[in-house]
Amino acid sequence: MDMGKDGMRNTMRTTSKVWLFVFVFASAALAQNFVSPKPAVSGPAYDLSIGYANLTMAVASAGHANLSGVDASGTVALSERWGAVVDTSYLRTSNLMGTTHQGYMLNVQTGPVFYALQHGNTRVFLRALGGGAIVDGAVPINENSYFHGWLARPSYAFGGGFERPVSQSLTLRFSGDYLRTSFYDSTGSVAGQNNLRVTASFVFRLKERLHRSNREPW
Amino acid sequence: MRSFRNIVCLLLVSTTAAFAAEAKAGASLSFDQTIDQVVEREHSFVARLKTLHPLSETYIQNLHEDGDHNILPVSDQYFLGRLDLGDRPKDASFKKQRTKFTHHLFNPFSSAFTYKYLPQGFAQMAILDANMQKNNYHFNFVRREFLGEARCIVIDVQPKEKAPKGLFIGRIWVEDRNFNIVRFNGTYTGNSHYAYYLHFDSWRFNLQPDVWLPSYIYSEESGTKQSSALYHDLFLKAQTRMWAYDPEQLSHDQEFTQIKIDNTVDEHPTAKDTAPVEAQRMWERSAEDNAIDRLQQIGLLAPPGNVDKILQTVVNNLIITNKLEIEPEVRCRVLLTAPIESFTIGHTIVVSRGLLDVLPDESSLAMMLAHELSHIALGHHIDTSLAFNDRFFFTDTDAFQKLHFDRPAADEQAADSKAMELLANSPYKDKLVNAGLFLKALQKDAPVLTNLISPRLGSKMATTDTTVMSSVFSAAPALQEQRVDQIAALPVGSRIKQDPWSNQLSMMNANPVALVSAKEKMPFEVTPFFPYLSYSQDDKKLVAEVPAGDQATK
Repeated sequence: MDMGKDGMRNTMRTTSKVWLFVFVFASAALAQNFVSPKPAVSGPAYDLSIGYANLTMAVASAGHANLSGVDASGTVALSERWGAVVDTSYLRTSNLMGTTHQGYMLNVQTGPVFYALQHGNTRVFLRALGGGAIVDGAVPINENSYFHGWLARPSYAFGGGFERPVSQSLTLRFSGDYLRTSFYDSTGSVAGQNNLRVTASFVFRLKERLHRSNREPW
Repeated sequence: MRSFRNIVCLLLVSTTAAFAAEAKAGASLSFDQTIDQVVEREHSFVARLKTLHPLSETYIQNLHEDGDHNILPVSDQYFLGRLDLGDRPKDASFKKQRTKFTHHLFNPFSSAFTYKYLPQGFAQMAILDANMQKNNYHFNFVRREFLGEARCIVIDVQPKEKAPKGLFIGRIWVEDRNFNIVRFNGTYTGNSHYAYYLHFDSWRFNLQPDVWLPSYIYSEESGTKQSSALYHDLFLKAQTRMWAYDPEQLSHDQEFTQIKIDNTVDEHPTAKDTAPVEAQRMWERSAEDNAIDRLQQIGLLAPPGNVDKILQTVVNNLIITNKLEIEPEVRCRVLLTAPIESFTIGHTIVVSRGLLDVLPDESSLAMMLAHELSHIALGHHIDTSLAFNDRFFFTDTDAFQKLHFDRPAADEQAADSKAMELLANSPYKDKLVNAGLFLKALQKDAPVLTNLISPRLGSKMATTDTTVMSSVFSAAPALQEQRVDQIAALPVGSRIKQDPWSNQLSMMNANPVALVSAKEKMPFEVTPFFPYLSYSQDDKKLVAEVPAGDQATK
């Protein structure tokens, strides 16, 4: 594997720092909102999103491959700052690492989302997802040959992003996740894959706002 | 004595002069200076409110518009709590049952599928801005207007562009004597994707000299009225009432300082030993007194007053015409809450404010009181464990869990039969049509208004299948909702007026109104508040006792 234990450790370390940074920011934001009046009504708030996703997938002993495709998700708000998300993405490439193999990844995950910051109309969120992934890929054995196959294994992801409304019910969302999946290495044994997924989506809010005039979009 | 009187007069005149000077100054203040005064007063108001712990009751009706454009309640919600308006409003809720662990576990998910009302959010509407800053708002003078006795300056208030979220937007009414905000009407800015501020109309009463405190809040949202699994919109009306401000009422400390003990021994010649029956009665009476005392101390029961006397008159009519001899005597008291209920605590009949408000006439009241009187006449005893004072060592908000005055079904049926006997001998015997209609309306709305028609301390009065006093129910004609002249029940808050400081009750002094259409009948429905604002008696006295000429010259 290109990304050995050290690489993995570095990735984890960086991600932890990012999370810590955002949580500290979130605490500051919560403190700033201290004097705002308590709302009288809460819930329910749902949204559905669909968008374009790009995945940089680590391939054992061969570097990285780029996959792209669609990402769809649904979110339900459970409180002012917490929600639950179901996310699925289908990403493919027509030529995996020059092997002519058409690889793909189907990922279905769910987990909590935390709205860490809200500045004007823009919201920053963090999320941690768990689920399963089917990875269909290929691993070069030497310069002329490779083996291919597919593998279904648990997967997890964590990351964050931001979203900004562009109209009453339409919002733009940009997110980035560290995605951990599994596939075979060149020895034929199952190894972890460290992937980076970036997504740009349109979000459709499934609820009308209460006050149509004079109010922020959310 | 004369010198004392002179000092009082001097103080009175000088205070009045100060008031007059202030009022005169108020008249000459620029609009900008007036706003400065308003902001300053609002800061004092918030500081004072933080030291008080009133009860806050919110009753919400969710509405639906049918195909014929009739707007009807489809469900309701009720909150009662003790407010702590500290840095962040807190509300300790009175609950009938302890919240189960599973409720906490699944509670976050409940609001994923339906709206969740937050009691603190309704109480929050008592405060315009916890830290009002003049530079956060645009103020625009609208007009001058009287709200009852209070001459008010009406001002539109809008947050500035760069102002933070959560500020008030709407209209305020400022009484022009001391620049207190007495009413504000609007909402707060900055709803999130998940939580909302409602539109509200918040009223403050002059409860103490120069002290205006939140008393009534009416909230209303009427969105698109569409509703489906994924598209929700709030469509509701709600009333929030606040009372039990008087901190002295919450403790007996002040009473202690007033007690004077004479060093004398009771040598009255008629003093005698207590017979067993008498001892039993005294024991029951002490249980009754303990319960009543505790309920009044919490602020749930009104102190004895004029409304009790009205109830007592009706009860006396029933007692005298039926030649009942009841010892100790029957008393009547009013529970200050909105849910419709009545019950007995020993020989005390307790009727809720909510029930008194919606009863259509005196005969209906007589029917309810006859039912409770029958419990007493039949000897349905009080739980004598209440004679032990340690039973009352619980926090106020546990009152509904610790105190139960409901009766077994057999007792309720026996009381119904006895009440029919009492009514048959009473002046109300031929006037029970409206009482029957009231019961029919109660039964009709019982499945919908499950929080209003649901007792907190007594027995249930109506279910989908049954009501109390079923004989009166059966004898009544059918409900005809479209008939303007058939009034089965009144809207919520139709009869009783409450002093939020002392909890004293009085009957509303409203003119009878001829209904234009059946839609105005609004049985059991929430309506807006429009109280007549008046200055507290002490303030009035100061002005009344000094001749007008004196005020002008001083």
